[in-house]
Amino acid sequence: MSRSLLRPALIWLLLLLLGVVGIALQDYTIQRDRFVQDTSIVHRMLSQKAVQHEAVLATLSALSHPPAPERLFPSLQPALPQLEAIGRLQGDTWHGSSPSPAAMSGALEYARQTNHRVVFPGGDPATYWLVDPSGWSILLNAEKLLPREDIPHTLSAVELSLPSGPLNLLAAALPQSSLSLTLARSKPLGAVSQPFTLHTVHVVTPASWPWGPWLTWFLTSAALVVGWTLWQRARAYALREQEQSRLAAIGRLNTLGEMAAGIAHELNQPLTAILAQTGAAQRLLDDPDEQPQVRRALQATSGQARRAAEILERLRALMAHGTPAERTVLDPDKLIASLRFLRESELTRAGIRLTWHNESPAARVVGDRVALEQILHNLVQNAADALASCPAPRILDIRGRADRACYEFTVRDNGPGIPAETLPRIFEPFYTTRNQGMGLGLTLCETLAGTMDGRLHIQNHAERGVCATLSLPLYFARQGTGGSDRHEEPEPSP
Amino acid sequence: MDDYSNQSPLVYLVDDDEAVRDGLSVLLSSVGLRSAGFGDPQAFLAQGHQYEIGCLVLDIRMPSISGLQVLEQVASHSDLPTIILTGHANVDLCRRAFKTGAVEFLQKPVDDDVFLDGVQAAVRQHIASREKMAVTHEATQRLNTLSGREEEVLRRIVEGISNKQIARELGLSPRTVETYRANVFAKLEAESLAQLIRQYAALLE
Repeated sequence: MSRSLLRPALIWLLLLLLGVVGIALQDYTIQRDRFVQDTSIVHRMLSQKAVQHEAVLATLSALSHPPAPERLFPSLQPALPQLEAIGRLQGDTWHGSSPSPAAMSGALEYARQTNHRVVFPGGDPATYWLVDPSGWSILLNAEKLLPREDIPHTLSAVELSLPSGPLNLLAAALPQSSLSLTLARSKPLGAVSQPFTLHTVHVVTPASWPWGPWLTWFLTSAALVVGWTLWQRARAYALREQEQSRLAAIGRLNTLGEMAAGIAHELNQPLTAILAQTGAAQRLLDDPDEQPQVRRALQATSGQARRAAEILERLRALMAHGTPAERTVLDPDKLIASLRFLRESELTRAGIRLTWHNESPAARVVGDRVALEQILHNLVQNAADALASCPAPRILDIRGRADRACYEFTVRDNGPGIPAETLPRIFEPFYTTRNQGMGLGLTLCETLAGTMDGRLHIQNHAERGVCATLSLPLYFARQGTGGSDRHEEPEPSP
Repeated sequence: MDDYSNQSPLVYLVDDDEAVRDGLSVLLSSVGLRSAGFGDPQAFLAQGHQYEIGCLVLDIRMPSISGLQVLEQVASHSDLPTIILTGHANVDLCRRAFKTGAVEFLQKPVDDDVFLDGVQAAVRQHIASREKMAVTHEATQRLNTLSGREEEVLRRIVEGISNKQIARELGLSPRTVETYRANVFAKLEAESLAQLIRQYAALLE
């Protein structure tokens, strides 16, 4: 029972594992692709802003009569929310919307030398100054570069490395979990003057695992395995039924009763004719004129007697397989396995435990498979019948062992055994102790064993129950020709 | 030939086994009985139900139609006595055969003496019933010679009514009734009142 459930359980587990891993991989791929896409969106938006800053400075430096920075700031600020201050250093004089930072002149010096815009930290960690070689400078707040709601929520962290140090654009802390998986990307912004590195992180937490698909697969695979197991069982059951009906058909044991009735009918006809003819002959015997009639009656009588003999001959041919028994090499383990397959459920229902011990697993027997199966089935049936009226435990023990040139099957039950007065008569045809029996089962078994050069011996066991021993010729692998010798042996005798 | 057939009864043998029919036929001929064999029960039924004096010996298990069905038809259409001869005797079959009208039930293989005794008893029974039928037939014919008045008088005589009473009922004189009464006795060839009643009471209605 537990063995029959173990296999489907293991298959289900394997199926479940494969499905879970497959779904996880697929889900991971989707999450990673989305992360990469979202990262590049943020990167593009930030780069555009940086390029916009450069454009503002380029425009201002190109004006021949630029407006005063203090007046310019309020008009620019609404379009550029990140703009904190604007100013111009002309010579040593600073004009600006805010006081001149200390590092401004040094930075301008450096910008003029390299003829490139330069950056340096503002007062706040989130701000930086961008300085044009023309002297125009803007103070920018990185935190206001992107509205918080424009950052895709798949990104767990967005960090920009500013001159004053890294700045986290998302205030939220990184989710921490031992089970989480972290995806990260780093890329500098696409503006020559502000090549700040954008660093994004996506954390795959247990909450974002594909629980839904997993649950669906859990149920689907369970249903699949259950369905498959049930289908297998139904198929095995159908197979068993088929095998049983096949055995019944070739077994002929069940049809013996019907055959006997047919034989009785067949024999009655010639016997009726014989009695009528001989009766007539006796009446006519004393009348010399009737001699030809008497002769005809006697001829008809012998004809009918021959007919009766033919019927019996046909019966014998049927009983003795018609053809000599086949000789094939058979594996006792396989024979018993097939027997168990066919009978075990029925025996289990009857509360009978069937055990099999093969002491010589390598040994093979020589015989006819169908005949051998029939004998074993019959012995098992007899044992089961004997055990039916017994209290538990009901044990049916089958053993096999090689002994010199023979292989012996012993079928033993712990039933009541055979009464001493019955024992000598068990192989007699039509002898039975059962109401339903024909009394041909063991007779047939003995005949079948004989056709395979085997012997069937039945006795009561010393302790209790019946012990049936079937000994059959053992197969010797080297005896390739030995086997055919045995076949030829009976032929010269007639 | 015709003369011979009138003397010897005929036994109809219906059995699908030719050897059985031949054997029984030889046995019957050894005691001077004629027989007609039928291997096919349908052929036997097809010849109609005009049977000679004799009996029918019938097997039960035959192809195409069961012996019991044959028995049923024969029993309902004729007075031919039937002997069942079968190899499958059992109590139920035996009961059904007798209920349907068989006179004897024999089991195969049958002893020759038992068989012949059974056949002869059946033939005797057939002859007896035929004779009885013949007597009845004659009486009916005589009854038909009576006039309407004579028959009315006869009915009342059989009922045990006195001449006076009859005369009153029919509106006749007792003397006239006396004359009818004498005519009835003469036409029906009855010698006593007892014989008249025994022979004709059952035939009136």
